Formats: sequence, structure tokens, C-alpha cells
Amino acid sequence: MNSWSKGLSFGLAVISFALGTSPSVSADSAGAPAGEVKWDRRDFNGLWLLAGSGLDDLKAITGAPGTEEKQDLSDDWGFDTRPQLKGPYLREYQQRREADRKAGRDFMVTCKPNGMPALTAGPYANEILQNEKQINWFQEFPGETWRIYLDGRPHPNPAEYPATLTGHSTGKWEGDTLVVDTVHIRTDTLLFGQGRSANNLGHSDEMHIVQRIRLLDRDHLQVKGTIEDPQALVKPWQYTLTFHRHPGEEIVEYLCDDNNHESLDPKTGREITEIPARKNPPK
Amino acid sequence: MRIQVIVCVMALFSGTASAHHSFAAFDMKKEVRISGTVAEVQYTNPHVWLFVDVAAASGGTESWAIEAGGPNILLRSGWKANTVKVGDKVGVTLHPMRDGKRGGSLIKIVLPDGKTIGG
Repeated sequence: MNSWSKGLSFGLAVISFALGTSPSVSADSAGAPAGEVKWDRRDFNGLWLLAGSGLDDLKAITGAPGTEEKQDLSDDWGFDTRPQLKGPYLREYQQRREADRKAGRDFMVTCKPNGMPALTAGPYANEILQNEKQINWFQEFPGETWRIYLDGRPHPNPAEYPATLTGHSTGKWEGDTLVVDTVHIRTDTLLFGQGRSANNLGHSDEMHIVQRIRLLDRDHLQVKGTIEDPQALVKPWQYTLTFHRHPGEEIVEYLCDDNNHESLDPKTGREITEIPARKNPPK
Repeated sequence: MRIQVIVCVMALFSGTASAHHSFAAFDMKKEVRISGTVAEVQYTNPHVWLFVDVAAASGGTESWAIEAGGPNILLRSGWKANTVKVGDKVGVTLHPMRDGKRGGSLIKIVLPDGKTIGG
């Protein structure tokens, strides 16, 4: 057993323990040529970084030949396409970006969770823990967990349960592709970029996300998303996110308000950075 | 070897991909270089802060505060909590604070052994 499969077995054991179920059995690697490492195309467990972003591939960042140019995540937050907003949702976006421009900032300072769909993008690490009944997708910044239920349950009645930042997600397998259906998302989440809408105009309560998740190979996970929102979008928004496996790396605790010295001037909206106090000030 | 690429990593993140704030408080078009002694390292979330004591031309010591990336970014790049130590003689390049205070956003540090790392 190589180190990767040892890690996988350990990961599955941990998840099995945590969720009280047995790990799934390899489904798709039977019949692999002799000498080829078997792997399960339905096993998404692991730590993933958005391919080509931030700290994904250090070799790529050095500019070595044959590597791809890094993405600038300042505005699109890693999505490869942009939605076509309309009506009050478009005006909300334009006003928010104009306010950012006037305040000399790239985006609004926030420690609030992004929610869906921005949760799945960005430069920080994603840790996927999976068993037969559920997937927990943990986003390192700022520590959100997106739960995908695989046990056949229906979405809740929206009249009975409040909408949430991550929404409610159910998944079913089509071959080796997990098709995830998400509804009931709070209207202050933004369709792209980070932060939240102060006026609950990030999108409407009709937003519906379908994400088709599959392994391209053992180390690359693809998410193809389609977002429908007839109130907020000119047409359905389609995007593709590709993640790169980082075996051996761990989630690092992120505490946005711990030693935070960033704030916004309430009068001008400009970002303020205060120098923290030294524990041992100079004499 | 890994530490050599940190400069590029952090240059990539500066002003582009930090999730917590947007660097508007710093003049990202200006660079200031200082030399001094590391007096304190606050290896904390959401950002790591370094304090460097610099000998003032008029005598005495000036305290400079330098903001770096968060621990998750730095650790993933190979910059651990004990990579920069109190007492290290360092050269620091930074984007200065717009309000004129002795502080800035870290571009790079040259450590006593000559290695260069970024923030």
C-alpha cells in the first residue's frame, strides 16, 4: 500500500468513525492494468486547492516553463465566467463596486462567511470528508461547512425552515458524477466575489444551483455549476471550477477576528489598518 | 529550496487575493526599505505582524510594524512560526502605510543567513 492509499484508508476510517458508517468500497478501479494503482472515482476525500490559484502549485508560481499563469482572484474570486445580473440585482452590484472604488478598496472588509456559491471558490483550502450518506465540504476561510446529503432526503419546506448561507444540498450519483442540487440560500450571498449584500440583493430566493462534481483524474476534482435565478439573472450562469489535490497538507485554523486590526471608517468607508500593540514596547 | 519561492507566492497574494482585507491602507505603488532587528513576532490570525527596531538617524530606536499574510498562507508556503525569530538582523521591503505611520505591508525580508522570504 503506497502512502496515498494509506492516507486514503486512514481518511476513510476517520470519516467512518466520525459519521458512524462504513466507508464506501472502491467502485470503479476493478480491472485496472497490472501495476496501476487502483482508486475510486467516487471518492472525493482529501484537501483541495483551486487549481492555478494562490498557493496551489509552488512550481507554477516560480514561472517555470510549462506552467500556467496564476489567476487574479481579486474580483471574480476564482470563477472562470461571470453571471449576467439584471434589474435591482445588477444595480446593487454596480453600486457596491462603485462604493469600493470610491473608498479605494478592492472589496469590503468582512469576516462574515461567504455562503454559496462563493464558498466553493477562492484561494483557501477545501477539505472534503465523505461517506455513503453525506459529504462535508469544509472551506478554510472563514471556516464554513457545506453539507451534501446523499441519503435521498428531500429539501425542507422553505415555509418551515429559514434559508441559510450554504442552502440545502442533496446529491445523487450519475455514473461517477455527483449531481448536487442546492436551494434555499439566503439572498445576501453574492453570486461571485466575496462578502455579502447589505440589501439582500445578491440574488433572489428562487436561486437554484446544480453542481456536477467528478474526478478528472486522481488528483483533479471538477465542479461544473449551473445557477438559475429568473429574478436576478438574464440567463443561467454556468461556470467550471477545477481543484488540485494536496495530499499531506492540513487545514490551518483561520480566526478572522482574533488579532484583527482592520476596520472601515464609518464616515468615509475607507479601510483602516491599526498597528497592534507590542507586548514588549521599545524603551 | 521551498523558502525561495515564498517571495513569489506573497507577491501574488499582495493586493490581489487576501480574503480578509484589501490593502487599501497601504500605498501598494511605493516601496520602503528598512534594516533592523526583529523585536517581536505576532504569528496570529488573521494576519501575522512583525515588529522591527530600526536605529534612528537622530539616535534612539524607531519601531516599525509590518503586516504579513495569515498563518494558513504562510505555513502552506513554508514560512513557519519560528522562521523569523526575535533578534534576527533583517532587511525589510514593504509597502508603507498611507497615513504615514511607521508600518507597512510586507513585500520581503532578507534573513541573517541571506535567505529572502516574503509576506
